[in-house]
Amino acid sequence: MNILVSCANGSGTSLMMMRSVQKAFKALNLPISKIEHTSLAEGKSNARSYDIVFTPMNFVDMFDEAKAKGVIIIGVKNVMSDKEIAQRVQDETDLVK
Amino acid sequence: MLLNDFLAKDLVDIRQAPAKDWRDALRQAGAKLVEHHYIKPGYLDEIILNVEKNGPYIVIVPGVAMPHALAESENVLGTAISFTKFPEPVIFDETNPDSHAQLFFTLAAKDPDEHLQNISDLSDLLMTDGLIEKLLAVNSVADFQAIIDAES
Repeated sequence: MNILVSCANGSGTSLMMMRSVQKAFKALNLPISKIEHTSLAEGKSNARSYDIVFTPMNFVDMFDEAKAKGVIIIGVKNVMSDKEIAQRVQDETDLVK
Repeated sequence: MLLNDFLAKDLVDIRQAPAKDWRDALRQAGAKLVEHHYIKPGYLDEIILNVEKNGPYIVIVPGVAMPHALAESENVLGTAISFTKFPEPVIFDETNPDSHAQLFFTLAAKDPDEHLQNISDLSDLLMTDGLIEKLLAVNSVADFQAIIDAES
């Protein structure tokens, strides 16, 4: 599973989110082959080469193009909450069998 | 531990007067980082510009803001997080009821590894049950010290 976490600048919020995603995937027993954090500008152009993109809720629309290409886009409300992220992965994807 | 670090580096600012608006709040919340040369004043303009451009997403949970801009900015000189508390919530967007904050953790991120550690610690800190409520009740640096003593 290749994962991208993206926020406006790629240095604060996305880093916090990256950590929560790592915790959530561990809890769900899902492997991560690659996880990277970027700014939205960079994320927008690279998104299609990842399986899942996590981004704060208000930036979800920025990834419509990647979504159309089949990338799973997950909006996150509380970037610190691995519980919320785990719940969203369960509800919004079929990764957890 | 991170809470201790804030005090050891003199990066705790408990404001007694409310901020005029969110821009004023962001400037005040970065003042200690400027004073101790972690950032140049220009970084605060970048932080404000970031919110103007991208909205109040720096409010990571209602009540808590994490102001930052590009880590690669030439106005970032060092790596640290400052803590600023205002006596009243600062409203970022009148139309968004979740976009208010009283606790401000401003980021300076020159060294990526050190910054990652700081972010991890901050995340753990803010996810500690009841800690946000405790920080909201702080009225002085002595109150802040008392929380540290109780946590450690």
